[in-house]
Amino acid sequence: MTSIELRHLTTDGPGERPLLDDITLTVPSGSTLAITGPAGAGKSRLLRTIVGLEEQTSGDVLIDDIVVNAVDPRGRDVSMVFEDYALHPHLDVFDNLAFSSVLRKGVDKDAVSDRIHEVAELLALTDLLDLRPADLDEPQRQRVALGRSLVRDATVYLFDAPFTAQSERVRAHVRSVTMQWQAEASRTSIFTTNHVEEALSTADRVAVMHQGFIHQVGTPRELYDQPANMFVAGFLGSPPMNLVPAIPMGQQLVMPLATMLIDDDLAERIGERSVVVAGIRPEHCLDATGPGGPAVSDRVEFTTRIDDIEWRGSSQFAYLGYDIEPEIEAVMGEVEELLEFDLFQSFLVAQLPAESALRPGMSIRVVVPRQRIHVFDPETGENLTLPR
Amino acid sequence: MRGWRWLAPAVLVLLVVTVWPIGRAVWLSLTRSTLTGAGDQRFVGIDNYTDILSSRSWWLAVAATLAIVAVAVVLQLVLGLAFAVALRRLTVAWPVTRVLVLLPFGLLAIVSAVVWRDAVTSGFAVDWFGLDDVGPTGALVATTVGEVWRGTGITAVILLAGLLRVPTTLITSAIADGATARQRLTRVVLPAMAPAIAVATTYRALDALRILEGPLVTDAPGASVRTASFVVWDTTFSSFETGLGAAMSVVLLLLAGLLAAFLVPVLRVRRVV
Amino acid sequence: MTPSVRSRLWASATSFALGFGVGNYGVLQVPRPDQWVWIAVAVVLMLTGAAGVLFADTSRAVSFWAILGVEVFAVFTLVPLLWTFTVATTPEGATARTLLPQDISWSAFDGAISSGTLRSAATTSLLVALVATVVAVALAVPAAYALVRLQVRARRLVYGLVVAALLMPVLALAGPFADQLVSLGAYGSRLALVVPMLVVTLPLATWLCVTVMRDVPWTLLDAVRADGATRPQQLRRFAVPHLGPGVVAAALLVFVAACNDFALGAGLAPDRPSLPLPATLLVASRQVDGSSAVAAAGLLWLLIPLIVLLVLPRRINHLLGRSYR
Repeated sequence: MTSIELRHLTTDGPGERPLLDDITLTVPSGSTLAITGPAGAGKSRLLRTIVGLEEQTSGDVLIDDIVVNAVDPRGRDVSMVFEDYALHPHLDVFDNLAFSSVLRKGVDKDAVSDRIHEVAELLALTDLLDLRPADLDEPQRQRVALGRSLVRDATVYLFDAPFTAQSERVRAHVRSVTMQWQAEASRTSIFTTNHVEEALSTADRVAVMHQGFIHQVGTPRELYDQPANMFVAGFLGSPPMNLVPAIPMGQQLVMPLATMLIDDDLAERIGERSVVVAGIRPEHCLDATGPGGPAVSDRVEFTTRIDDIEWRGSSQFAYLGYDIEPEIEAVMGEVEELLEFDLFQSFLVAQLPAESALRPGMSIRVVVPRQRIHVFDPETGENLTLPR
Repeated sequence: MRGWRWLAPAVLVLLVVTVWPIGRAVWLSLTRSTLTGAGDQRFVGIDNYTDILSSRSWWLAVAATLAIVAVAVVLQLVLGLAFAVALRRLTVAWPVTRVLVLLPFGLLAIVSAVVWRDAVTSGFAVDWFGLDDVGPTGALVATTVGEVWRGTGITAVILLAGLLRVPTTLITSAIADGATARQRLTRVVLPAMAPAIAVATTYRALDALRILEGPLVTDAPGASVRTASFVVWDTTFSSFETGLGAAMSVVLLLLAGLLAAFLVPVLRVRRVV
Repeated sequence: MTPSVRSRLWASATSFALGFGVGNYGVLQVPRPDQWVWIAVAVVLMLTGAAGVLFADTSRAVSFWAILGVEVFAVFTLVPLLWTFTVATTPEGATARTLLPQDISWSAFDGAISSGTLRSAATTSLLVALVATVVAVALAVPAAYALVRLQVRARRLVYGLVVAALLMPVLALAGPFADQLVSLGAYGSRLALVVPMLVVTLPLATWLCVTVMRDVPWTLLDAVRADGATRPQQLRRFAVPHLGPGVVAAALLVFVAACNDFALGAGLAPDRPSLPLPATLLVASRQVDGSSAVAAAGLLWLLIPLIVLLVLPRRINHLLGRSYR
């Protein structure tokens, strides 16, 4: 029905860094965008700017290709779910669900009432319609806040962390009914989450945001397989991608545990850099300890001692410690300080099958397919292995 | 029960200092007695009550009192709400406004009554608004305005506390939903602070009911408007008719009780300890 | 035009129109020197309007409606206080006719301070209020603790009794109390005032202490006890820092309320020596030049609540605001 476009949206902050940093985004009509990023990334601020609660310093917000910078929230007709629910304490659940829908003239009350019952059914609120917010628990309150937005007939739907309070079991259900409801009416929605898997599994497209800046936008697969930079790589996935310092030496890249051959193309991209960062996802660290390991021809391999094993039921994680030079560690520390985010560890995580018999103290031979290894510039974070 | 050991002394003392005099008032009200001559008490049954209830001047006084209560409460609520809204937004000025807002309440009611009376009888208001001789009624109105002035600050403080309890996201969320300023006031802010408004109304109404200083300083022979509290005072401490005064006191207490019984359910005053 | 700009422009227009109206009325209707008061108010309002237009399109979070409201509030609060001051400083034999004091004479203040009657009345008031406050707070603190923390049957009933006593027309009890004191032969003594004064102080103290108790972080007490603190340690480490300030603020409010009580004091103490201050002022107001003396004494008496407010401004506002709920 409606598309949203943001053009060079910038909001100056009190300090040096802007709260929103030159954000350009398009959400096509009827699609869902997830904005994910660590706490304090500016996600809520971005949503509030789209609704019109906050003013940007420069740049444009377009709803359906019309610039709405000077339009007040009533005129923008956007629905938003707030992180702290914003429920009216004096109204019961039914009236709370109805609240947003009856603010404008010419509302078909019966249709709203029907929708309320439908939404209440979906979100398991039917038995609670006569209660007040004070009588509900956290997850129920959050579902009321979510329901209030779903009941409304708006141009665009913004959900600020809409599923956080739901328990693990209910969460997937609430997520799927919400997304189905939105898809049936082909509604355009944006939601924020700091739950990476939720973003990857639920949305059509995902934007990774940090420090007011959108690092990458794309389909979940694009982001996961081809992270544009070190932050996206380190943020997506759990456990996150292993990022280890690596020193280019001629045709080789020397990492703490292993050494990798580099082809001419990558060597040229690395150029004069004295240190780069190599990224390896835990699920790509394959266990080749016993006889007949994985058949990977173009590979990097190494043998080391297992420091610890964490059993997760469906899989296990092996922690493989390593040491790095103090001067390199200082460089890494600077990068983390700049990003205000912990990217580097002094161990490598390898994902093992649940039935693996390896124990802490035993030695492990790890094989990594060479094309799965990403190489990043430590200062700009740029992914040097991406095809240009 | 353990709790009652902590509670008992206070409750006992409270009962002694309230129930005892009320009981004595009820007993006195059934006699004809005077404050000075304690000896000649005479049991007269409900004569005092029939005297009061059939007295035109008593009912006029009650009507005047209720009118004063209504006007004072409405004015205090409107002004208090406006000031509370303004004070809430201007947090910079809080160090000053916090003191200023309660200062009128600290001034003795008798002083406020005297200076407000003087303002309209001989003071600045005469010249400002071209007032002629306002008479006792005008002076009573002035002292009532003085009471409104004294009570507005404390009303604003109560309403401000109520206002601060309205979560800001409730208002931002209503803005995001496209509520107009009017809808935000009538559908979000006022209902959410309804408990504070209800309590402020009840407390201010019962406070206005017991205003005594204004009527005392403005009373003149032949005054046409008197308040119920004043009549009680006059009967007990000027005419020394203790029995009649006690009967009036009982009626006044009943009146306060009725007012509370009316306001509390209507406004749904709730407070969970 | 964004909504905030529109709202500021409306506030400016209102402010300006109000200032214009005030200025015109002042110039046309009000004689000097009070004309200057009107003109000053008008200028401030109109300047606010002008500032509102100038700053309408800035991103700073200023509400000109709030500024206008606070200006009206300041005028509303201060004009009667200024008038009280003018009345108090009017020279003997003259009548104050203008809001601005014409020739300031401090004789009424001198009189109020040196007058034996007023001094003795003030002493009575303070003494009675002090004793009544100490007794009331001593009773109220455990009662409030029980109401808030302990499972007490009939809790709501007790609380209802407290609120009823708080809001009762105290005057209705003055007559019976007087009668009782007469028959006891204690009519007119200072100490006899203390007991009736508890009608004012005890409910107020209980009611305020309930608020104080409700705001105390009780889990902290549980933590302190779990850490194995002894009774004296609990008192020193928990009760004094967390209960102390609130109880002190409540006690100060109760004290001020007791000092300012009129009905009981006036009714129960017929003769001069034991008449409390508010009642003495009623007598004083009926004399020649009485208004001056009353206003002066009132302003001096106002110093007590003013000091209390200046010492604990936030706590007092918080306590009063939260208590009414």
